[in-house]
Amino acid sequence: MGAIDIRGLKKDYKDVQALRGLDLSVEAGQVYGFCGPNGAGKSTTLKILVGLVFATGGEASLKGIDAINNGVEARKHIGYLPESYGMPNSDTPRKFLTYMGILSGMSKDVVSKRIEEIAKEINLTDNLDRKIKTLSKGNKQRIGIAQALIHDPDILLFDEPTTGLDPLGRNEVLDAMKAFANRGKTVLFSTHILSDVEKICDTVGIIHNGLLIEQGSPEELRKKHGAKDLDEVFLKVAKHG
Amino acid sequence: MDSKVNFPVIVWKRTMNLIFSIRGLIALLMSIYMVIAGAYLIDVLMESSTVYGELITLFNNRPDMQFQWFFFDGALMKLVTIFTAPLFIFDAVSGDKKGERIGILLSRPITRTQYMLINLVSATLAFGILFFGTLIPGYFAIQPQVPELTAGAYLATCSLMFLLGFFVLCVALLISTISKSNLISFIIAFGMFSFLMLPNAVKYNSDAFMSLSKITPHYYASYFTTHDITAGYFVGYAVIIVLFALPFLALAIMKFRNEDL
Repeated sequence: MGAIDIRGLKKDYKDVQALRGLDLSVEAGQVYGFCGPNGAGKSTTLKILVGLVFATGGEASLKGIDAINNGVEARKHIGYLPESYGMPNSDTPRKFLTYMGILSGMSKDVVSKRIEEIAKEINLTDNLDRKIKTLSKGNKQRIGIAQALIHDPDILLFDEPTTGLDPLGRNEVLDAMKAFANRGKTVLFSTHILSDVEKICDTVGIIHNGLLIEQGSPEELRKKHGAKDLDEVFLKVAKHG
Repeated sequence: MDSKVNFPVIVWKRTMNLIFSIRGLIALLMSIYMVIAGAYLIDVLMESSTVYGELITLFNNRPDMQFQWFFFDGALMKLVTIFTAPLFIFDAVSGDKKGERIGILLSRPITRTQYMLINLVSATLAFGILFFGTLIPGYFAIQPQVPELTAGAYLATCSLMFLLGFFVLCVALLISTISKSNLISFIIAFGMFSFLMLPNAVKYNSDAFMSLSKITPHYYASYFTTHDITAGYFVGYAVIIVLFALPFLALAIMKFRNEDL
């Protein structure tokens, strides 16, 4: 059993089938790059795992816990970074992270220590007591990552975490994700920046029209499709998918 | 992470955030105005040339209960309650959706019902703290002006008005859950209360308003209550207000529990 197991996942919106029986499995400690064109179903999949969107059919489990019917228990093990999100701009990162920690079931003392640890890890220490509205986009993304990590979850679900960041910011986020995986955390992140995937992913899954149409290590996929990089793989697969 | 979420701490932090904000300040100023008006301005305001004076002349057929009408029944406290309570909740859900905070908040190990109750209880506490925080000291300013006012009756009536605030909060929470815009939520929350309360206030002016007044909780409450300030209101009034509030709360929770975000 993987850290994340999805079987036959379906989601119908009014006129659109966003997911048409998605199967996906991510082993513990892996960094899994979840790729696909816009509207392929990446965000919907992550939102179902988090409990923000209700599946129409199929199963999803996180560390063996049913994420659809036992969401509260499953969410204890995940840290989630949405594609776009807001934070209380007039608060400081420390205040915001404390609130998120307590909302995750941590005591105030434990949260305080944890904030210091994470801030050191992702270079946020100097900005912990400044108002969020005064911080740069890169620093706001760091706070977003910090809120996902605050309760030390085993599984990280990041939706387009590098979109909109400059190359330096992107590298920092990628390095951080790789570091989490090295500590045994499982990372599933969606993106369409395939160079990011090549840099850090153990496994890549390509989703198209709500179905997983290709999966393997970047190396395997390149060989299989005779491509020089994942961009080429993606284009070939998406065209025939 | 096996520990349980400490909801009292969460609720308290949110309550303090609401109180120490612009909306908290507005509610505090309105509550202070209510007490000052009740204690010191009653004679001036009840002169026939003022709005309150005109209203009292129009609607209050018990000249011996002018303070009662002025403070509780007629306008002042209901008005303050109706306008301050929604301030604490009109954007509770719509604001989290619009500000894209909802995904982060609901990725925590809490249920959607708990999220809604955190919002409602925090808003109720914030409203209650400011409401009683000004009204209880206010008693000592008001009582010398209205010697027949007893502490028990005053507190009991204030408590009922607090429950009216709770009703307002439940309806505003439902509106905030349905609406996708803070502005629309704000307008509907305040507009709806004008609709709910005004027909009752002006029911003697026209038959149409008399029919409309039947949809207001106050119309039915009057069957179960006395309006004598020295006795306070009956428990029936409290029961009716809560019974009116709970369906709105249940609807808000049901709507939010089944919504894709």
